[in-house]
Amino acid sequence: MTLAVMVIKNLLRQQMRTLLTVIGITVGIATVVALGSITAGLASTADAFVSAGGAQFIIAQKGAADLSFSRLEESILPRVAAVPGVQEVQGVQLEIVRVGSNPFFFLGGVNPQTLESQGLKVLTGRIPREGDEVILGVDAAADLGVSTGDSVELGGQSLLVVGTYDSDVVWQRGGGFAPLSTVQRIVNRPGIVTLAYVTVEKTSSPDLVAKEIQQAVPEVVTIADSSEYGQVDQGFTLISAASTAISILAVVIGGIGVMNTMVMAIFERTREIGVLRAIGWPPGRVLRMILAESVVLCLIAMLAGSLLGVAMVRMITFLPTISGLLVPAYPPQVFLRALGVALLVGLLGAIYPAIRATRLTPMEALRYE
Amino acid sequence: MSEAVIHLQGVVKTFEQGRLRALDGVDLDIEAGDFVAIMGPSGCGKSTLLNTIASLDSIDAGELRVAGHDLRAEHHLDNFRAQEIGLVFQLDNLLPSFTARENVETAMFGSSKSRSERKAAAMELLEFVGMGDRQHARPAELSGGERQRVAVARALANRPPILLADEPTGRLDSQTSERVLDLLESLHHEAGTTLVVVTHDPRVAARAHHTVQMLDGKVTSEQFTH
Repeated sequence: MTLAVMVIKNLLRQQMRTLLTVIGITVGIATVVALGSITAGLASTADAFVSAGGAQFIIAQKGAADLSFSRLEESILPRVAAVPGVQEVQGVQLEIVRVGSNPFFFLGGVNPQTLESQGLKVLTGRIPREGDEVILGVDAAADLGVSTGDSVELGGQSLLVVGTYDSDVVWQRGGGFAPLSTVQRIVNRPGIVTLAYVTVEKTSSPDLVAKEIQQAVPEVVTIADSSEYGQVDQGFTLISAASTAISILAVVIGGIGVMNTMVMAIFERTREIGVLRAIGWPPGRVLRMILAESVVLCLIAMLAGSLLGVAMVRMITFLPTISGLLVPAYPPQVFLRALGVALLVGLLGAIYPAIRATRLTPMEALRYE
Repeated sequence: MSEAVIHLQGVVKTFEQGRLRALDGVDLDIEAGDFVAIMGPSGCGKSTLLNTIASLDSIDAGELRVAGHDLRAEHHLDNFRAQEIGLVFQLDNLLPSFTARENVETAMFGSSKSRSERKAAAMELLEFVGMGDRQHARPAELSGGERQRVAVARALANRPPILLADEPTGRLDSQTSERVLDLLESLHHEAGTTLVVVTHDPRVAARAHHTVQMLDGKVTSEQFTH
């Protein structure tokens, strides 16, 4: 017999209590994994969005509560373009409009010549020219039941569908692009763009150029990746913060649950621990056995919680209102975080009963009734 | 006369902040290979004496040397207990979730034996106490006498030179008691183990070579029969 076998057998003595504790921690870990996957998916989408069309970064209105609320006068774009090292600046109008029953249809207003460089693959038809034309994402066309040559009403304006495209970005597949002036007219904001893509000359450093833009045009912020997204999207920041807060809550609540289980288990086994001490077990070995029991409990919950978390996210993404918005990601960090939470819960939950057990003298433990 | 393997001089052990003197200046020498019965009425300090020799309880005053270790100065009492002392309790105190063989193996965790060596050694000891065929039985599946024999096997796990037993037959019927005593005596004869047994049972005293009578925390008389 090994210490590992002892640990497993001790856990199996009170099977129902062990099971209930594992279930409790599993739910906590599943929440950590689910939120982590959603946050990672959002970060991945944000990264893809920022680097669309080969741009190094985007600029948006400084202080905007959400990227969709960003408003930039087109007149500032030449000032950005004049910053040394800037190769190209392309203004984009992004709007979320209601189309039929879909309240989250992404309509992008762009310079039509830049569309193919946005990473879109034209499947049918062509890209829009000037006027009331639109190219739809493959998912949007399927949802709306339209194809090339049909008309579609977007934001109260009838537009001719001139083609369909595919994209790696989920919200692009569920939306469409029209000429910038057309979208500005639909949303009644002439001369305004939501953001602009900035391409930097190959010989220049994007970081330095971004700093110079912020100095030269102080009313804009530059966003190079998802980590800088919080500057213009507090929702993204809130989700990240919620993920961290729930991880901490999972540690605290899970830790209390594990501590309750381990305290009860150790109280019940006080006399046995006295016997082990009497036959020569040093306190360190007793401590290792108790900590190992707790950690094993939490690692089982970590595995179950990870599977449950992934299943929960998969189910969520099947919901019609979510499916076009969210592509969860499962990077190793999500599961490493779950592992960290599980180990922390296991160690925190067991540390008090373990120390209590090792502080008892053999006789105190043997006399315990 | 050979050197004492257990030496107590003026040993005092008190409880309840000094109000109760469980051992009150005990002087006692036990030679290696001796078979000692410690007798006396309940509360006279027999079990406390055994617990202090086993280093389960510390003493308040006096000198206590066991197998060459000064227990008041010894820092590695766990190691001392594992290597020098085998303990048999009145209640068998086996771990209920583990089989007879696993219970014996628990005492070998600190040894240098590999997993397979521990298993083989535990089996050998169970065979020695006549429990080889019950190696997979849990304590709840064993009779009182069988459990006590497993407890003896566990006490012998690290081949200790000293075996201490506290009322090992206290809860057993007379026939089973005789079997356990036969086992302890054969161990004493065959391995030369120093055997110290706390008992009320005159049959144990009859087998012992050295009987120690205690009263009110003191050794009142000693009798050497062989």
